[in-house]
Amino acid sequence: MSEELFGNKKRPFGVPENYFEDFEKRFLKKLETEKAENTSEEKVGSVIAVVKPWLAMAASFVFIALLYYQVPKLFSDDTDITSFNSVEEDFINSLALIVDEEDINEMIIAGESDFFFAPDSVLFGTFSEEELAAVTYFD
Amino acid sequence: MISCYLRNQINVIFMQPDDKEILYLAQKANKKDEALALLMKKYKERLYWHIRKMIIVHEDADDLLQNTFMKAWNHIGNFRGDASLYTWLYRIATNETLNYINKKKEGLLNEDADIEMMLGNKIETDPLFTGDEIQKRLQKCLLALPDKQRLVFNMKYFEDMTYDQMSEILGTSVGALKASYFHAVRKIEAFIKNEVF
Repeated sequence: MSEELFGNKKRPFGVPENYFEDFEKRFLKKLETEKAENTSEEKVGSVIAVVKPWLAMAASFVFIALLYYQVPKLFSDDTDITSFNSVEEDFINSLALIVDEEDINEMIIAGESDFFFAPDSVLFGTFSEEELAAVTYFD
Repeated sequence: MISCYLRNQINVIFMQPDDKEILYLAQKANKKDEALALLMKKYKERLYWHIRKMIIVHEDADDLLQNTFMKAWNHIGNFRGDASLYTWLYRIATNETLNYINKKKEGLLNEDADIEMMLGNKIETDPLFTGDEIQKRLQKCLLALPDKQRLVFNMKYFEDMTYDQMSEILGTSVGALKASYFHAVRKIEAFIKNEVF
């Protein structure tokens, strides 16, 4: 290959002054900076690594607790005659000990049932008269 | 397995004394910095020019040279000695350079410019380009070649490497390298004769 066509083999590029002399210094500085960055990232990473399993365990406990308390409510039917509030049922039972069945029926018909039963009672939500009568019938 | 072990031992014996010293020091925790200094002192210029001829721009070549030493330093513990330290470093530098060029090309996909035009303009305007008109023309012709062909040309013409050395660095057969160089020369001659640049 002739030099007339390709030119001489001398490098046609230059470098800034003292580039090669200063190269090691600049590189070592960059290396130290990267090491420092890696160390701080490692510290953060190690803290997260320690805390993560505990957080996961706590989250799973919360989830199980939610399932335990909420799922039964999701599947319950509030209008079912058998799902009486147990406190109200106890009240009715205790009332039955002192009040005669006929007296209770009369009171219901006369519209005095509110005296014995709270207006917002679950017991009287959507009950018919037959159902009300059945409530007052105790074995 | 035995032949592989013997080959590695032979490589270690015939390495230049500096390379053996560098590798030995690199294994010692308190001597690593000394090993790094020796490594850079010995290879920084050769690697820089190898990168610069492909990248053209000094600042980019400087970044890639630092990346090369960073990668070499992080992996020197895994260096098995199946190639010489020189070959290994050249391979890292070559891969860094080609990856950089490919990324640049991807970045320019949506623009009107291409990397050949961009670097050609750099040659015209860069104060650090110290070549004459003939050398400028050659560099522009080289930019028109495929990257690997340009790499082969630079290594053979400017760096005076043997085909065996190039084969070891690039992982390409000697025959393929000879063909690549031949085609590169023919194309450059055609560009010059047809006054493309």
